[in-house]
Amino acid sequence: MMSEPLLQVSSLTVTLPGGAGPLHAIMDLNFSVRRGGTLGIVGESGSGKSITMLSVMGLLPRAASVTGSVRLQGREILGLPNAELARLRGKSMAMIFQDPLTAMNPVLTVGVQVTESLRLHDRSLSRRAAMDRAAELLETVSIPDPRRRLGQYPHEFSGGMRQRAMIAIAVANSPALLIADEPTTALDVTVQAQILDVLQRMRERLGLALVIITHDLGVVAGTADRVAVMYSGRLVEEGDVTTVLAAPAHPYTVGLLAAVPRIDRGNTRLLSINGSPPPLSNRPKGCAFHPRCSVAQDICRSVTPSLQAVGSSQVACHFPYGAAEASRP
Amino acid sequence: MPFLVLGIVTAAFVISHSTQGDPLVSILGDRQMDNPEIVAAAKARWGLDRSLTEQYFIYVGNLLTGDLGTSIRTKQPVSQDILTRLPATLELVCAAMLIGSGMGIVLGVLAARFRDRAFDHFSRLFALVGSSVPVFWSGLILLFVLSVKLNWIDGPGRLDSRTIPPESITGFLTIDSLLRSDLAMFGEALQHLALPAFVLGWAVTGIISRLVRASMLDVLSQDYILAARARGAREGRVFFHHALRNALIPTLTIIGFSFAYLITGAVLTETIFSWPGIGSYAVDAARNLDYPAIMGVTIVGGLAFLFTNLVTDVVYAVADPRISVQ
Ligand SMILES: Nc1ncnc2c1ncn2[C@@H]1O[C@H](COP(=O)(O)OP(=O)(O)O)[C@@H](O)[C@H]1O
Ligand code: SF4
Ligand SMILES: [Mg+2]
Repeated sequence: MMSEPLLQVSSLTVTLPGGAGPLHAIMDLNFSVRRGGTLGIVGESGSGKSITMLSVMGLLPRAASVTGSVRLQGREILGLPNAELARLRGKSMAMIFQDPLTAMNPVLTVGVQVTESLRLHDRSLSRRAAMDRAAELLETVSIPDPRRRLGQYPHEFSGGMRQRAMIAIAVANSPALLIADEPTTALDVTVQAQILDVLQRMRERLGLALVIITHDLGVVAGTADRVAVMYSGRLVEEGDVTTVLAAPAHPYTVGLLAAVPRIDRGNTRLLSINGSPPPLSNRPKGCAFHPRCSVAQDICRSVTPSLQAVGSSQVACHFPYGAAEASRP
Repeated sequence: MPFLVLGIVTAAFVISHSTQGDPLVSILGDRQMDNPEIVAAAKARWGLDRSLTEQYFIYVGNLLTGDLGTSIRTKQPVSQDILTRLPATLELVCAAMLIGSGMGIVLGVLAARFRDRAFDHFSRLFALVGSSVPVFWSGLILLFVLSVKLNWIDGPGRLDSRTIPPESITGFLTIDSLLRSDLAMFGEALQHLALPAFVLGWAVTGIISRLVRASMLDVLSQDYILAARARGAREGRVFFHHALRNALIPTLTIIGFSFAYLITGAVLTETIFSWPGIGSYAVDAARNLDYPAIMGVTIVGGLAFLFTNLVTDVVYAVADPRISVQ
């Protein structure tokens, strides 16, 4: 069992109820996260990144139907009763969210929320001991004057401080897996790097594996070792960060990379893919990306490409760059 | 605040003096109205020979010394009449408030928990009946069925008609009897209080339960609820520790507003249940065109409304850490 990944997601399919019939939010998704590793999940807004990781946490609304397999530390956790899952959440796997302004309960002090995370998983921990531990946690995520801060309410914290506190809550029980859903999107540019830095430090210090959800490939480049690119509920490219960023194989990844501002190009104007992702209710046949793809052919409009090895990566495209280079005239 | 009070006083004065009837008729009776000397004497006695403006300033001047004038009907100082009757009304309104908001909160929380299931529909119906059926109707029906037909509870009044009311300490019979450790009296008072308080409280249950339900559903969709689940909180804890507190904050305002409704509703309830409070006093005063009494009651009602608003604001600030108490 040495090589078994920490998190193994197989054939994950999520169906949400919709006004005009069920919506297939996630289709046949496969990926894994190794112990201590960092996976970046990238894709435009609406591609299903949050739903994917919420289904790992078992936090989707009841009405959602989730099938496939989610194995955490070798154990199947998909379909576990909620009480069992609650025992894992915050203990073995934790999650932080995009907007720290709304992710903290406004009527409870920060101290109450940090100690809650500790005391929910350790009934024997006294209030006082939990407070001591909470102060240490705030210190680890570089919140100055932690004792005083614990007594304050979330609205007395800045956005960056709140996200630090959310990280402290998430890592309170040294989980094996930390999911960060767009942890910097709602923050000032100056604060973004600090939050990513805190996350990296936590990963090294606690040996946890990190899944960073982002729509910004720049964030992935700086933090992740693996990257999974999602489009319209499917994985379209997955591989080693350096490989994927240096030689992207999927036209969508190429488009995303072109949208990253780079100083080494004279022109810093954002180049982005034309159009926007399709709504779940009206997903194009074949490759869902074909209306926006500059190299689409007839087959793309009828046959959905499946994931195939291209070099060291997995790519779902009929005409991937790299592999196609040889066959293209 | 002082301007609001003055506004209430002025409004009360204008409204009560714009009625058609002549108070002299109720002072003197029809027959003596033909005797000009008696009429003139009565006018002088009650200050009705002065202009309205003069009457107004005299009234406001007296008010500053706590003098609400003399009731035409009871011939007692209005302030004394009101003070003896106020506790009965306060006891009724407070009990109605407890029952109304208690039922409203419980129904609203359960309706949110069992959204679109049978309980949700039941609570919607219960709320609708309570807020759309007039108090005098539901009061009469319940009084008739529970007291006359089934004999489960005692009839109207604060106590049995044979019971001699004890000397007042707070004026709240339930509290006074407990202070005296008189459990029999407490039971009797509680039994008489229960039905009118329920009828009155039921009328505000609807709006409170609907608001609590909507507010709970809104709160449950917030990110911090997801975050609480993500750290391992079970559903019960999520519901009561994380959601309920937040959901009750907007409810405080509506509970405050309900007080105003209860004060008006008390007038009808007291009449039906022969409750010796301000409400029935107001009805008697109105029937007899007893201006000083009508004005006194209006002013006290207005002050009560201002006071509840103030209390609501303070409670709001205490309950919501984002609002600081200045
Ligand atoms: N509760 C829901 N009901 C219906 N559709 C939903 C729901 N939540 C999300 N979606 C849809 O699912 C798709 C994927 O959403 P999400 O995972 O949040 O995307 P991402 O995190 O990549 O921006 C979007 O099209 C979104 O509109
Ligand atoms: S399958 Fe076709 S349409 Fe889809 S990304 Fe590849 S080339 Fe473009
Ligand atoms: Mg998202």
